[in-house]
Amino acid sequence: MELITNPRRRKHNKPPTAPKPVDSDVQVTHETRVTAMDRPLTLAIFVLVGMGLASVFSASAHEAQLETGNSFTIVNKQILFAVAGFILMFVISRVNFQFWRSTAKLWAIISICLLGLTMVIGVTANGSERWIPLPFGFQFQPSDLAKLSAAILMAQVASQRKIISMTFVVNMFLISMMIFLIYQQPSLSVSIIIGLLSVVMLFLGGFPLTFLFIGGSLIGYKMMNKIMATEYQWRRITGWLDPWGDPQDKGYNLIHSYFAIGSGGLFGLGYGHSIEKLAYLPFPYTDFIFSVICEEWGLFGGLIIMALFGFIAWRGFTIAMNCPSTFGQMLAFGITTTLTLQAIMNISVAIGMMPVTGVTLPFVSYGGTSLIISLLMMGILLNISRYKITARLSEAAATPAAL
Amino acid sequence: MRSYQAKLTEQRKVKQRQKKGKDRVFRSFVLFWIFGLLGIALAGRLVYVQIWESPELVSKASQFRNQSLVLYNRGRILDRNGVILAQDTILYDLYAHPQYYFKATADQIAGALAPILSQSEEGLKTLLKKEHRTIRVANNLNKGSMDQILKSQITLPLIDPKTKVSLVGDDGKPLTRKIAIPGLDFSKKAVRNYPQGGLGAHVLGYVNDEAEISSGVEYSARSILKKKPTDMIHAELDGRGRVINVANFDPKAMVKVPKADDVTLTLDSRLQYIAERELDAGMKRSGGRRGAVIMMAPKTGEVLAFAVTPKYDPARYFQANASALKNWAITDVYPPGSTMKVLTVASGLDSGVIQKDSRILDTGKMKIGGWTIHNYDYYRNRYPGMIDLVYLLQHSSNIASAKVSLMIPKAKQRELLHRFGVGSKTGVDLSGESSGILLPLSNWDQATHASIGYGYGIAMTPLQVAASVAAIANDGIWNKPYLIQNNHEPVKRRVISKTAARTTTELLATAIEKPKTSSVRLDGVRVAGKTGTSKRPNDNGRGYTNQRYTSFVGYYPAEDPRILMLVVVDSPTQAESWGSTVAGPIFKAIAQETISYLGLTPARISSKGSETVKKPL
Repeated sequence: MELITNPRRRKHNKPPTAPKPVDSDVQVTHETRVTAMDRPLTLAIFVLVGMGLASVFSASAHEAQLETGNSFTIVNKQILFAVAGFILMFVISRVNFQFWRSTAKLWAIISICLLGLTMVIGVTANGSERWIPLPFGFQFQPSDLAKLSAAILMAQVASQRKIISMTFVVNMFLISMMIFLIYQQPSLSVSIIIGLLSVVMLFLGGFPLTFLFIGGSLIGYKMMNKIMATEYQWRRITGWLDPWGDPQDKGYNLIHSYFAIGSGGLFGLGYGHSIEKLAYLPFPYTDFIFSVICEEWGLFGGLIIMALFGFIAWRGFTIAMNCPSTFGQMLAFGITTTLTLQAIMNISVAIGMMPVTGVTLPFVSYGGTSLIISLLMMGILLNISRYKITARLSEAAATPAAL
Repeated sequence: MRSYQAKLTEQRKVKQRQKKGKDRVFRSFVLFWIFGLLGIALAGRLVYVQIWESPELVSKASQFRNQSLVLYNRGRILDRNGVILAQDTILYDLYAHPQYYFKATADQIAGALAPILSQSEEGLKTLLKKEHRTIRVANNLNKGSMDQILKSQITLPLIDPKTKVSLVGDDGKPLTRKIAIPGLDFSKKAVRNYPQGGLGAHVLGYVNDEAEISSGVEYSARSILKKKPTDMIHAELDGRGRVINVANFDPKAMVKVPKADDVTLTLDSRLQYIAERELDAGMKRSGGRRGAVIMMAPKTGEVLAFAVTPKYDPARYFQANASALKNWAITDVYPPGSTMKVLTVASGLDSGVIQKDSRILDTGKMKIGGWTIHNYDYYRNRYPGMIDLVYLLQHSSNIASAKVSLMIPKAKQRELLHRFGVGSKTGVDLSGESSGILLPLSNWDQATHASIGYGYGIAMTPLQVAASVAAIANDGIWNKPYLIQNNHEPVKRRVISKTAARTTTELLATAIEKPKTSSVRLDGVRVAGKTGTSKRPNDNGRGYTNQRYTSFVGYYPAEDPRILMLVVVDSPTQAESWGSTVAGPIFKAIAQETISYLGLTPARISSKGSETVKKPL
């Protein structure tokens, strides 16, 4: 019993007949219709993933050549992930987004279980256990799935008419579990992303600003204390504030990111001509891929990447604003916020506006789970984009007429 | 009524919903603008880093990146017979990179390295565990040690990649595999070494290619010794020091440097060895502050030996103090004193004011231009009377020399001195040469003119003295002294007539043969030479100290001079320090030994003596 029935049962572009206001959160102030999914957004995603594949190849070829003797080893995997991700995206874009509302807690529990599993059989890399080994040498990163689950849970919380409710308590508990488990990996950056996402969603859902502010300050203060107490995290902070103070150690990553960006100049050194990717810049095809793009494609390349993310964010917000369902609206906001936050954090690290964290650039950086989950999120967003408010009904029409 | 109530509640609910909806729209706009402003800030920062800071970052990046290590192999320095005096040896520095230890531990690597490097294992363990990207483990390893390290392996347990359990073989023992030591890097470098010890150190000079400092022949022959790869493509290295592969490019070609040429010196390492040994012995005997022996072939200007004390080790030049590093025999000047009388007599003969058999009235003491001058033996021999030129040279008469000098017209005298090389650099292949002092004619008063006759009022470097006397030995033709045989272009000029030169040589040889100056007489070979003793000027240039320069300049055989030698000892402290007692014995000791080596004794020419000379002088 929903306002919007599954579009698979209908012909395309045919407005649903006489919507019935049954769902509690549906406002009866709009006339809606089902359309095709957002084409410009699809195009932007394709361009971004394409640029990402090209950059991953350029940035990983040197290492792949040295490790395996074939410079395509790493990019081939990423192409495989991209193909799988796009197929998944189109499939998901056909699944009515209300599906995610009904299965919200299921995904959360799956995420928590997998995160727990990571602690038991996880693969350690760069000092943290983040991966679950899969057959054929693949690995799965549950923290990426957790991001999606958190977005759904928060959309559910934020779309309620009264935000403080049983759902709020349960969902916030699940999210706290996820943040805690991810923090234990340790992966501070992902826990920060989920935390920020929750704050943003509470803000959008109409959570009282006073409580939000007090809660946010408390958590921020606790976190600051924790960071200052943890040595490797504090080193990252000092390395960020004064990279030239210790160029060989603490400041190394940031300095080489600066070198990459600075050498790029206006038009870049040309595709494939990055020097910093050659074992100077750490993680050139994951965390610091933006620096490599700036080095090879110049300021223009960097700005194009940023513009594409800006465009995706703008489309995401437009889709959200046009969605007749509050849950759909909030889910669109949640997905857009997650990806935009990640992009902002990644780029901020590369250009020295944030201490070094392990955030990857969505759609662009190498990483199967990240790419597939990001494309899955886009699938959900594309599905939401099909439901649009076509006209706002007048105040009189909205009010019960028999008054 | 009830329905009205219900309708009113309904209306209130709708209004609440609308209010909430409007609030939601407002909040999403706030969020959108926060993201928008963040995006603008990021773009601004990107423009700032990529455009504004770009030039600074590019220059810094080139400093931080591994430089292309094009190894310059300096050419060797050889003596005239091909004996290697300086050459490059390839050595290796060992570095460790902890982030590339792979599955091996620092302890395992330390265990494998310790016996090869003969360092303590505990020390290596703590060193290799340091949290740096690059650790310098050892310096100056030879190729043998490097090969040994490259070949050595460490044992790792075999672990199942899925279950993470160590695998055990059928016999119950854990399975292992051997891998080469991971995380190590070698950096190749060329180190200068000196197979003959520090022989000829002041001529060879020292070199440090990294700091780009050098001296001596290492500096003056740098264009021959160090070939720059001009048409080579710049080799870029990646973060781990590997040459970056560029398509269609042979990485080996990038680091090939054209072979540098060897430099062949005029030095004869055997003569150099004798000179250094005897100079050292003489210095010890006399307690002198510093000394020099210069041996030249007067006919060509080749410098055959150039010994200078105090000495230094060119391999450890950085430990020596500045006064030892400097070749004072070309950088510092001294008043030549009595050795100058050779030039005075030769100039007098050439300008015709005296003849071979001229006699001069030596009054023992004379007043000139307000100054009183007297002979050094004035208190023994107050009035020698009419003396001939042999007596002048033998007794080193200051009065007679001053008189001869005054007889020559000023302009002629100065012109001849100038042609002898006084007051201008000899042009030898060493840097830092000083030109000495020869006053301009306008400053020549009578006292100066007279004092120049016996070697004061002018200042020369020891090499200038040697070269000027060599001109007399070479029948009046001055040769530019030189050390590097590669691309040598001789510079010659006639100074005095052949007869004047011959007569001077004859007079000098006769003076040596008189019994009194037997300290430098050699067996079977006639020597032409002159002692010299001069007061050491104050360092501030005003007046003289009580210290002396003692010197001897001579050449032999007198009939056909093959070797010219100058011995100078600065500030000897022994009693009775004169040219004849300090420098003379050193000259004699060296000359006596070289006679047989060069095959100058008539009796030995027919035997093996001549065979030892590979290249006749």
